[in-house]
Formats: sequence, structure tokens, C-alpha cells
Amino acid sequence: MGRCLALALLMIALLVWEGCSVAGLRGIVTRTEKDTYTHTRQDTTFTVEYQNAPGERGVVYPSNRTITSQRALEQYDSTAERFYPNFIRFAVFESAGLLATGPSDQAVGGGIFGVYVDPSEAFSDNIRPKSAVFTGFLSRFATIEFPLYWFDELPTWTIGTSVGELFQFEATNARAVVGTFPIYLRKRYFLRDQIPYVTLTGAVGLGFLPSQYLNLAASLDVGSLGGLNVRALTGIVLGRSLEQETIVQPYVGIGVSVLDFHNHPRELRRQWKDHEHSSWSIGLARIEPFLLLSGGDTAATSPSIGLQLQLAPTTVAFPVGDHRICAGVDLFNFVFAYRQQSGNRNSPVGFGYGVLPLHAGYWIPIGNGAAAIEPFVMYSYFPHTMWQVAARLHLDAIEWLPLGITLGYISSDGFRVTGGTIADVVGRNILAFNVAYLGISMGIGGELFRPADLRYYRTASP
Amino acid sequence: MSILLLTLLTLATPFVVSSIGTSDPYRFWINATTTAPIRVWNRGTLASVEKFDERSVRMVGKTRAVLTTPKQTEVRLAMTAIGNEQLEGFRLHLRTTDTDLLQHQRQGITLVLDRQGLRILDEHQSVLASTDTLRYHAGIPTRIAFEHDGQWTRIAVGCTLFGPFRTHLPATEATIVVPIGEDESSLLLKDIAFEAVRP
Repeated sequence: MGRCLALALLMIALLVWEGCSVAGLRGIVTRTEKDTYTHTRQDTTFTVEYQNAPGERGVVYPSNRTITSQRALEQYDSTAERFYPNFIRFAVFESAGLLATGPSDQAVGGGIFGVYVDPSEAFSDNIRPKSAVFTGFLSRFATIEFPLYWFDELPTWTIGTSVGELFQFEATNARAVVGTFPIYLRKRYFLRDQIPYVTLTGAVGLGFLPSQYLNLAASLDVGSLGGLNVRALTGIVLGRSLEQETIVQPYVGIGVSVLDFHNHPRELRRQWKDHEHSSWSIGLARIEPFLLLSGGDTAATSPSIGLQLQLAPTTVAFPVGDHRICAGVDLFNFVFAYRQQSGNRNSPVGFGYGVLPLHAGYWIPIGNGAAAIEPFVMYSYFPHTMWQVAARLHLDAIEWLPLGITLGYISSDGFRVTGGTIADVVGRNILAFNVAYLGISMGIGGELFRPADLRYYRTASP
Repeated sequence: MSILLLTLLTLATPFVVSSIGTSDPYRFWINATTTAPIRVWNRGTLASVEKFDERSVRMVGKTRAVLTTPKQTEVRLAMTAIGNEQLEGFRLHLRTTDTDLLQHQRQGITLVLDRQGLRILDEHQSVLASTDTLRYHAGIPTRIAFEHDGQWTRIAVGCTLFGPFRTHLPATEATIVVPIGEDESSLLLKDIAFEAVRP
């Protein structure tokens, strides 16, 4: 009962947070233009009165006419609002694996994209040196770039910042550079100006706290499709590390970003409603409490429940056939399955998580697309194997708050961690589990797109 | 001290970025210090419409400017137009908006003053008034005034009055000015002022 209450309170808190954050975000990323009209339905009544004298008056005769005009207005005002994007780039999360930023046995170990962190060190600041090809990583959170008109008509120059960025060159804070609200100037050259854009970007950034540094960078970016981007990047960081040691560090890397949206400069003059989309659904997160249909203890007095949390779930429409074949990726996917056992409430916990898990499905819009059914397969390969087969009914119930009902099956291999946050929360031995489930999901900052929203169905861009 | 400065720089960055990034160089105000300020929206290249002085706007080449009287739709607006030799004339679109004009081809009431004469057209491009005694002459100031009052629009060019024209078009905040000419043409709109018909 308490667990259900906690889930309900969590839902309410998320709704409140959702409302506040969406309103605030909309003000930053959207430019509103308003036209006001005054309609006059009635203006000035003319009354014409003829008072001709009776009798024969010949062919040509004077006509007595009185015209009375009375000014009376009946008016109403109307307004038309239009919404345009206000930014060149808005990215929730960006990460990159950096090559040869230190000795190979002092690596952080974030893998090719910098997010494949050892589960024993995941969500922890205690990172041990290890041997890896990608020795360092770069992470950037909540990046926004606004157009800068100082140098050219079409704003291929931008000014921007991030809530935070982290360059971890080795597994020590002496080789880490962290910036809060660094300021960046960027210049983009569009090598391909159709979606997905291919751009060559040069950047100059300055970070002030907690590290003081200058970052000169260049990247080859491909994206975005449903907010997904990949990039190759290079640069040099000059400054002081977290421990105030001098750093002059060139870097080369490969990166990925999620919920990373790019606008071509010409798109700043295109209304949001006319923008082209490539995906069926996107979202900041999807939280899905579920009921275990199998795998629980049948003798238990209360049902076994679980929770699935997807960060940055994205489902991109494949540009083949009728575009219903879809595929996507999450940033992270967490699954908690609580096995309720009779007489023992602290039962073993089924837990699994995936980094950049892949999924493929078939999107079946219902009606005009306000609802859709998506049978899908999800496969998670790191740090352990986890897969699921499911069908989800998506409902575009409330703006930015899509709901869903899922019936599925999850199979997760067990794995072992030696320490860190996962060991503290879940335990060192993560058990395997196989469960069927029925879940109700709620998207946070999510949006479902209708067939008419997809760029493939648009005949011409306005 | 240095920590304080760095903290200030860090905290100031998002405000600096958002204020620079969201500023729109295509819009500016004239008559800003008066009780009837006018917002000018440049719909051409950045250099094609500029604030000449506090009450004047200069337009160069093929461009378009929208003079907006914020929250006032029924107004009397007056200005003096002077063009150079390369300018062939200019067009004013009244009782429409830039979006309506561009996307829906709603021309509104159009006043055309060029070297052939003056024409006033309704939304269907039917001629409401036409004369060849008033023409655009380079370097000669032309005073233009108009009034939108309910369903009536009155136009004055120089000392000649046209209208009132009765129209069902809604009154809008926008007056759209389109110079007619090539890249070297220049149109100066000076002494621009407006007042609300009904205070």
C-alpha cells in the first residue's frame, strides 16, 4: 500500500515538475509572434427616407429625400499567435569517448561514446584507472545555442552555453576539467543542408568555474534524427583542472547525443507546426510502473510489481515503405522487478540496466495518430544482456505527457558488481530474472507524432 | 576576489547568452521616447532597413518593412516619403499583416505611388482610386497619411484626399512598406507618427 502511495506521489510530483519545466523551457526555446485584428461588423447605419408629394408631377420632378446617418460600431478584436523556434541547437545530453588523452592503463573507460561506464563505477564518482582504448570522455548537459547575427545574415554563428560540461582525460580529478555555464561561440558550415544535416562546426569555449579553461574544438556532426546525433570531434583544452593543475590537452573522439535538436537557420522563420519530424515519438523520460504477470510468488498476499525507467527514449521512423517500421535508442534503461514473497517483503530484487539499448518495432497509428500501437523488441548489450518483447499502446493524452499501456516480457541476465552505487542500492550479485508484465507508462516531456507530422508525408515545406 | 569574479562570470553567462541570442536585429523601435512608439520589422536583409533617426527609417534595395503600432489597430498614421533616382516608387499595404501578405496573399488595401501615378486598390486588386496627377518624383518629399476607423479608411497623399473607402477588412497593427526599385534604390520614410483614432 505504501509503495503504491509512493508511486502515486511520484506521479503527482512529476506532473507538477513537468508543468513548470515545460512552461519555462517553452519561453526559452520558442519565439512568439502575435498579430492583432480589429473586426468591425457594423459601422454607420444610413436611413434613407423618401417623402414625395402625391399627384401628377410630370416626367422630371424634384424628389424629397432625407438621409440620416447614425454612427454605431460593432467591433471585436482577434489575435493570431504563431510560434517559432528561437534556437539553433538544443541538446539535453551529449557524450563522447576521447582517444589517447592519457596512458592507456589510466583510462576512465567510457568506451566509444564515453557512456559505457563500468557498472561497478556507474553513477559514482569513484573511478579507478583501467586499460582501455578510449581513455577519456566528454559529457555535456543541457546545451543551448542561439543565433548570432553579428557576422552574417543567416545565423551560422551561434552563442551558447551548457548547464555543465566535463572533460575527463584520465581516471583522476587532476586530469578532469569541469565547467558550469561555459560560454561558447560556434560557427557551422553545412555540408548537407537537408535532414539529417551534416555540418562542420568550429567552437571556442571558455569555462570559469570550477575549472578555468579555453576549449578550441571542431566537429563533424551528423543529425539530428529524432534528436539523435553522432559526431567526430577534435580539439584542445588549455587551462586548469579540477585540482588546479595546468592542462594542455589535445583530444580526438567520437560522440553521440540524445534529444539534441538542430535548426537550420532558415528554420528559425518556420512555425513550429510546420517543422519536419523524423520520429514517431521522443521524450525526456518514460516511467512505467508494472505488475508482474509471471516470476512473482503466487503465494504472496500482495502482487509483485516493478518499474521501468527509460531516459531519452526515441523512436525514429525508418524512411522505407510506409514508415511504420521504426527503430530507436534510449540513453539508459533501468528495470526494477520486485518479487513479492510470502512472509518476506525484502525479497530479492530483479534489476537490469542498459546503456544505449536498441529497439526496433512497427508503429501502427490509430485514427489520426493521437494513439498508436507499437509491438517492439528491445535489446540491451551493456553492461549485461537484457531483452524484452512487448507491445505498447501509446496515447497522446496530454500535451508533452503521453501515456501508454504495455504488455511484455523481459529477460535479464545476472551480473556482478564489486562496488559503487548499484552495489549500494541493489547489491553486489544482480540476479537474472524473466518476467511477463503489464505496465502503465507516462512520458515526461514526451511527444507523439502523427503521420501528418512526419517529413516523409509533407509534399512541400512552407 | 578571483573566485568572486569567476562566480559572477559563471552566473552571468546564461543571462548574457540568452539576451544576446534572443535579441532580434531585424526589429527596432522608432519614436521610442514618445507615447506612441512604432516597432519596425525588417523583412529583408539586415542592412536593407535601418533606423535613420528617432522618427525615420531608411530602406535600401529590394526589401520590405513592417511598421507596427503596438496594440493599436485603428490609427491615424502619417509620414513623409523621399526616394532617390533609382527608386521607381513604393507600395503601402494597409489592413493586412506580413504573414497574411506573404503566406496568404492577402494584400489588404494597397496604395501604389510610382512614376506613372497613384493607385489605390482593394483586396481583390480592384481600383478604388487612381490619378496620374500625383506621381513619385525622386528627391521630392511626399506626405502620406491615412486613417483606419471602423470600416472606413481615408488616405491623404500630399493635399489630395482619397476616400473614405468602406471595407470589411479588419484593421491591423501593421503597415507594410515595399519600395519598388533595384538594389541601388533608396527610400527614406521620415517624420513617422501615429495616434489612435479612439483614445
